[in-house]
Amino acid sequence: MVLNRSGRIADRLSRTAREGVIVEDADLLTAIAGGDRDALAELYRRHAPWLQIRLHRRCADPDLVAEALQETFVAAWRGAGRWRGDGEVGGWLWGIAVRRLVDLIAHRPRHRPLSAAPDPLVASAEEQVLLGTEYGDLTTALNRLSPELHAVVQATVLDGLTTREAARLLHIPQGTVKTRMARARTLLREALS
Amino acid sequence: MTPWHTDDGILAAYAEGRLDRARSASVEQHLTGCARCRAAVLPYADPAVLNRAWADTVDTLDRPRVPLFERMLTWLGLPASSARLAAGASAARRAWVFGCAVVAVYAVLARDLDGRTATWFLSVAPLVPLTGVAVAYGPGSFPMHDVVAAAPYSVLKLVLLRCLPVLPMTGLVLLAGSLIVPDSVTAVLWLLPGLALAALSLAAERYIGAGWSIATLALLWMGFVTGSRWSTGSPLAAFAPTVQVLSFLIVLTAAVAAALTTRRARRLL
Amino acid sequence: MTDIRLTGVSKNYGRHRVLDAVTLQAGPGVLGMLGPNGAGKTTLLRILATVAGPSAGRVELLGRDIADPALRTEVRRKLGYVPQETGFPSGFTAFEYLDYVGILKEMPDRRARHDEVRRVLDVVGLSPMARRRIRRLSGGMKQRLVIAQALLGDPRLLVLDEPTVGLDPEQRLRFRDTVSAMAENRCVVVSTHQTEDIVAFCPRVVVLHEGRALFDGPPRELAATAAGRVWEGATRDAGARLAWRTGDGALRQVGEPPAGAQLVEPSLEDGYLLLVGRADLPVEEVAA
Repeated sequence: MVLNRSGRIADRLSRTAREGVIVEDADLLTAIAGGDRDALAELYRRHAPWLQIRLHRRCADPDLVAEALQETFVAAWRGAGRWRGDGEVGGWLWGIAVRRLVDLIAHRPRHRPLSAAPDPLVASAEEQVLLGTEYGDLTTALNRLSPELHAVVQATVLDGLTTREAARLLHIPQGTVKTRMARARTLLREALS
Repeated sequence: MTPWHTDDGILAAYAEGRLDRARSASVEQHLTGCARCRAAVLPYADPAVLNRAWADTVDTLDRPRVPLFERMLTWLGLPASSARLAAGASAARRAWVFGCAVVAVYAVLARDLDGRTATWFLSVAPLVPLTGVAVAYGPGSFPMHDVVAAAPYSVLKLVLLRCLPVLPMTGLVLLAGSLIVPDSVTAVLWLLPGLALAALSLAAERYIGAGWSIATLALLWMGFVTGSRWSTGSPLAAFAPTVQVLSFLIVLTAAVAAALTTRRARRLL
Repeated sequence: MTDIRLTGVSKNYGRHRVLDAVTLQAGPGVLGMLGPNGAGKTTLLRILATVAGPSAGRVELLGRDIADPALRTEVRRKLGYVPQETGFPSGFTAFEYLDYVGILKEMPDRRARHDEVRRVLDVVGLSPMARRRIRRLSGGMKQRLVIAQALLGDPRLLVLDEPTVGLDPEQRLRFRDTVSAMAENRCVVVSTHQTEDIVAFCPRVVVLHEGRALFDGPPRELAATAAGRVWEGATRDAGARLAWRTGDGALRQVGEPPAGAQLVEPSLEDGYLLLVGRADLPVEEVAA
C-alpha cells in the first residue's frame, strides 16, 4: 500500500514512533476535515483492516467489500467535519461502512449476501479450555439461534441498522425482519429464564 | 475502551472465521473502540482488497470535479470521455452562457409590440452560435494546438464536441425568439444564418485563427444587416429567402466536407 | 527496427527553404539534435511529431509512411511530443490537463487513464501538485507537466523540442535520467541548445545548419573535428574564426594560433562552433 508521507500529520506520526506520543483518531478526523490527505491515509491504515474483516463476515463478495470500503473512506473524507466527537471513531466508521454495504447489496438484486464464517454453533470443549472462557446462558442461546434469526439479530442489535436497512441487507421484507426479531427475543428470554 | 481485552488467540479465531457467533459479536463490539486489538487483527485482513479499495478511494478524491454540463451530457448518453472533451475547462464558457442568457432574458422582458425589439433580437441572435465557437477556440481555452495535433484523436470529432455547448444556448435563444416574435416563421429566421456563420468561422479558424475569424465575421454580419436595411428600407431584409438559401448551402457544404474527410481517413484503416 | 527513416525530406515556407533534402535513420536510443536558431530543428521535429508534413521526400515513422492519414493516426498512438511552446487551457489543474490529453491519446477507460496520469506525474515529480491549478505552477513545473503529457500512454517514439528549458540543474539531471532509462528500447529525439545535454546523454548527435545535416555521429567525433584548432591564450588573433573569453579569463579561440597561445583539448562545443561557425559571432563569456 503506497501512502505518501508529507505534511503536518506525518510529522506528528513520526514523532509517535520516536517519542511515543499518540495521535488520536479524533485528531486524525480534525486534520481530514482540514484537507490533510495523509491523515486519511493513516485512518485507513488503522481502520480499513478490521472493517474489511467485519464486512467480509456479512458479505463474501470481495468486490462489494472493496467498494464499500472505498465509499466509506470517501464519505469519511467528505464528512469528517460533521463528526460531533461523540463515541468512538471506529463505531462511526462502521456505521458508514455497513450502510454503504446495505446500499450496494440492495442495488444488486441477484447477489445473495453470504456469511463467510462457517458459523459454529458451539465451540468444542477443547477450544473452551484453550481459550479459557466459559459459556454463559446468553452466549449459548445466541449461538443456538438459527442462521436466519441470528442474521436479523446481528443486523439490528449488533450492527445498529434500522428495520428497513436490515431488510435491504438480508433481502427480506420488513415484516419478516420484525417477526424474526420478535421470535429471537422470545427464544432468548426463554433461555435466560 | 473496555478493560477487557481479547487475547490474540481469540482475535485470530475471529478473523479466520473459527469463532462462534456470540463471541464474534463481542469481539466486533470491542474492536470499534480498541486500537491495540485493531492493530492485532491487521495481519488477517485481505491485502488485495485493502490495496484496491485504497487506490479507488484516491482515484475518487483526485477525480476532476465534474461540471454540471458534463454530467448532463453523460446523462443524455454521451460517453464519459467525449463529455469530458466537450465540457473542457468551463471558466470561459460560463461567461459566455451567462451572456447569452442575459441577452435572451432581456429580449423577452423588453419585448414590445412595434417589432423593434424583434428586429434587434433577430440581428443579434446569429452571433450566439458564432461566439459559442469563439469560446471553444479562443486563446484562453484552446492554446494547445501542437499537443492536440500530435494526438491520435480525430480533430473533427474534437471540434464538434467542443462546439456542443452551442446547442443548448441556441435552443434557449430559439425559445426566447418564439416568445418575442408572434410569427413562428419569423422567429427562426436567424437560425440558418447563425449556423452558417459558425461553420464559416470554423473553416476560417484554420487559416487566420479564431480571434480574427470571429471578429471579422461578426463585423461583416452586422454590416450586412445594417446595409441591407438602409438600401431596401425593410428591417428584415437581411433575412430574405436568398440569404436563407445561401446559409443553408454553406451549412450543407460544411457538413458534406466534414463527412468526406472522416470517411477518407476511415476508409484507409 | 528502424523507428525513423527520413529520405530526402525538404520543407519550404513560401520561398524560404527550411529543410533541404534531409536523410536520416534512427532506432532505439537517444538522438540529439543541435543547431543554431533558424536551422530547421523545430520544423524537423514537427515533421517527426506528424504535426507538419514535408514539402518533399518520404517520412517513415515506426515503419509506417505518414503520408497516409490512417497510418499517421496509428503512429500518433505511439508518439509523445513536447513542443517548443505550448499553452494550457485556462482553469485546469495539472491532473485535469493530463486527463484531457489522456482522452486525446485514446484512453477512454477512466480508471486506467487516471492510473496512467498518476504514473507520469510521479515520473516527473509533480505528484504533490496534481490538484493545483496550472496558472499557479512555476515555469519549471509547467515544463515538467508538458513532458509528463508526452509520456502518457508509454509512447515508442518521443520527440522533444528543447525540453529542458526552464528546468533547474537538479530537474535537468532527473530528466536526463528518465530519458536515458526510457531510451533503452524507445527512440528519443531531443533538440537542444545546450551542448552539455548532448554530452550527458546523447550517444548520437546530428548538427543541423541552414536546413542541412552537417554532422551525424557520436559526440566525441564532433569534438575531435576541432582537434588541433583550439587555443587558449591572452590575446586574440585577427584570423581566428571564433573567440570568446572563458570563465577563467583566458581567451579561447578556434582557428589559427595567436601569439603565446596553448593548444587545448577540444570540447563538443568547439567542434559544433567550428562546424557552424560564423565569423560574425561576437566575443562571448562562456564557461570553460
